[in-house]
Amino acid sequence: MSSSSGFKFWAKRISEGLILLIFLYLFLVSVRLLGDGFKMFGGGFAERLISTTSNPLVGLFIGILATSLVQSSSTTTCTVVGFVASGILSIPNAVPIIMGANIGTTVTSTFVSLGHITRREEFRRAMAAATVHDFFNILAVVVLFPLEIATGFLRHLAQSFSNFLVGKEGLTFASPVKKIVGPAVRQIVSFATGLTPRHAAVLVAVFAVFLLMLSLFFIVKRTKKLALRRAEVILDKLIGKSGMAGIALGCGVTAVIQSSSVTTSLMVPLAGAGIARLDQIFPITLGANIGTTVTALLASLAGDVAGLTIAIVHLLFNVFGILLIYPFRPIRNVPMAMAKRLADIAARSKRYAAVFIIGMFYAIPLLLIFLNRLF
Amino acid sequence: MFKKLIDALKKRPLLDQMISEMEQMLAEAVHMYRPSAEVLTGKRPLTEETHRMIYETDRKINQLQRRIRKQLVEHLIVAPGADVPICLILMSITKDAERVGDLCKNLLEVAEDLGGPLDGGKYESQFGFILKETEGLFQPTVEAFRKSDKQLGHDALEKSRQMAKKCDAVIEELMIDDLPCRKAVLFTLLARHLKRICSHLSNIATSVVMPLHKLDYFDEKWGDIY
Repeated sequence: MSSSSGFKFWAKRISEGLILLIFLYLFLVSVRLLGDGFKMFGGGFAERLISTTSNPLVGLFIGILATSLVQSSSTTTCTVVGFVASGILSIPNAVPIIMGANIGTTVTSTFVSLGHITRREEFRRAMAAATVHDFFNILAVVVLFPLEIATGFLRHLAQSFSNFLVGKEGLTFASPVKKIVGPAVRQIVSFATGLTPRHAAVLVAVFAVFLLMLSLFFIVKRTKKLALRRAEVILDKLIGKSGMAGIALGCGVTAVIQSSSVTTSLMVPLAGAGIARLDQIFPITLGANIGTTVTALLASLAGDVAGLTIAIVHLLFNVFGILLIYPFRPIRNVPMAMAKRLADIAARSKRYAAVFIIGMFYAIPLLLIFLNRLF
Repeated sequence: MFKKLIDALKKRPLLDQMISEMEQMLAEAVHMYRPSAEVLTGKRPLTEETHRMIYETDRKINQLQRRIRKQLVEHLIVAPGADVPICLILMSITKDAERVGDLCKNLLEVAEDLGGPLDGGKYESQFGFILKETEGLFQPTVEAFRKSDKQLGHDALEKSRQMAKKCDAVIEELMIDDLPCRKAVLFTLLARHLKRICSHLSNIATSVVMPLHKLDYFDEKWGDIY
């Protein structure tokens, strides 16, 4: 490598790293801004949010619907972290939303499987690979949701972990990240001065959501570009090696890219092409479930101990889900059998694929939320 | 075009790996061709060991082809975009390399059916020349592919064309000859297999000098387009 091309190489790498840091900073600003912005709506908003999410089932379906609509569990979980950190959403009310976000995020890979719809066998394999993630997350919720409602074990455990990490004085812990993002947040909020409180709140909240989505989009785009080129060799070597290797692969790739949808959506065409079998894809999607929790943990840096607690709940929920379902073959086979069954049906008649997607991710959650408002 | 693609893709590990495995396929094919040719020219005895080694190498080439195909799909799914042409080229030329392996195995089968080296009178020297020259085609083809060198690619193409003509000339002679049926059939097969080996090697060489859609079809006027 000549000195000029060496300089160009390092200059490019440093500029790429700096751009990534800028978007990371904007991401942290947006999480803090979300809480502060929604707080500006006043006590009425927080009361309405708490009363709406006080029904855990509604919270769960809000999580599914919101994530299916934005097609990013990170957006939902980071918003929840922001809300919890600013005190406008309680931890018990936030847990079902986090669980719902886990289900909602699988819609993206299910959509990707539709790209194979013109070739029946390919579509059957792709659909099974996409929906095995759906069924696993649904099963995890079926088991852990009632347990959490009855005992609150996830939030208690998460609370212990966050206390251990930041100390009991964490309630007043001044995070250095909070100090760094503080001036930018104050500056953005100051732009809304002069408006009526309600208009100012709407402006800040909309801007915060926009900034969160924008920063996440660019972080994923840049890390994807940087990481996937290297990851493809690891992918080639690890696919089909062992369940643990698959989980590590899914977790690692997702943690770097900050998007489980990217990881799982890559697996779908691989399965469609017959490169990887369903039982080889399955552990990778489980690893993606754990890897994606890094985003909420990162977001919690901009908040307080409550934000960190809900981010840890997200991590624990996914870890327990895997521990309950994956190690035991008969239980592990359940989501795979369900995915295969649905894929067989959808391959025979494509309308069932549409019925599943619309019903599972949009119609049922919407109906339940609507019914809850009525009664 | 191929050279630019190769240079642009230097930092893509899986693609580098596939290109190196393609080179390995050709290197393995040489390891099959040489002993087969040596058995036919009497430089090596026809033994079980030679048979086993050639069939084993053929399996290795087939495994490499399947591996490259798998990696191609993985690469195109993970990093689609600018790599599509080179991936399609690799898909096509690995098939050629795999066919070369099969044909080298066929050369040994001809030797086995003949019961040993060629004993073909006037044909012995003709086949001896073609066998030697064809072996000399492998290295320039591998080099042209490895270095993405257009001139080497042209040279390999030209040489393979000459060999193909020589094989056709042998077949024409065989058609009007009055050799025993078994010998005539085996000599015709031998000439045909050698011609096919040259054709598949020239297909690989076209990947260096021709655009993707012209792969396998050499046309002089395309030689210098940009």
